Amino acid sequence: MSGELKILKKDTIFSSLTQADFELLRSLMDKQNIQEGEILATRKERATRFFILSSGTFLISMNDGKSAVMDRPGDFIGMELLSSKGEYISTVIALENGEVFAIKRDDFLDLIQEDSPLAETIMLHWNSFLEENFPFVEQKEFAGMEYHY
Amino acid sequence: MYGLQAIAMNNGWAISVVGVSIVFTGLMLLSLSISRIHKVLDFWDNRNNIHIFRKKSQERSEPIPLPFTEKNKASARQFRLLIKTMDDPFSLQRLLHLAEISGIERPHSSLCYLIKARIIQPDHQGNYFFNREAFDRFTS
Repeated sequence: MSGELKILKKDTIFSSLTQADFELLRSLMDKQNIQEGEILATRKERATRFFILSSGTFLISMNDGKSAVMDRPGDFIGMELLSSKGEYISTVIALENGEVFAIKRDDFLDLIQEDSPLAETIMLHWNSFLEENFPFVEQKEFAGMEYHY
Repeated sequence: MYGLQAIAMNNGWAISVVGVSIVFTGLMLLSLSISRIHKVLDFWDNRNNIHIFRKKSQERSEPIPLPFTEKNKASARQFRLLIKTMDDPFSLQRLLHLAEISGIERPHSSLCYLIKARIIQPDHQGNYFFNREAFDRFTS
């Protein structure tokens, strides 16, 4: 099994997808090595990518002084945590050397806007993940994803 | 004796009423079950989202026994001084910014180390607090 699939199959928002869905998601992922202090996304810039954490620790700095730290392989850094209306609302900084899989924002939104079991599964797990780990982050409704994220 | 009289004499009416009641009760229960079956299917489909069925997911950052070198202890003490100037709980991004402008060596990885050692912990509302106990344990 490839490294990407091993990470996705762990206890993540993607872990209950079918093999075909994994392959589809994997085709959108682009591996990147990240250095300590490197900035992956800057607040107020145009949102172009979401990230799946492979290794390392990342600080997500939100616009009200709040922060989130993500360090678990398979953690998804995107949607409400990262962007709104096509713009980054948080800055993501690497606290140590690591690796991420970047997915183009537009590709990911196309994926989850479809009326499919894949989209439904991802959104259900994402909402649970946010509620459990980041209850202070406001969750968006399903409709109008292009606009909301 | 024949006819309706015979039925009445042998509790025929009571038996009929009971029988009809049983059949109609059964039919009613069956129709209610069928009308609710979609909810059972929804529950089964989303069982992973129900807390009692959910696997206990690994804690986000389990305490890792970290070796604390003199350098780590020194940077922990520097961060401690910065945290003393801040609110409690404090903003982690602000702490990183202060660490950068204060000239702390490798502020990102130093901060990361303190988070992994649980000297700095989240309050689950977007802010962080200083764990004095963990600090004393690692820096003594």
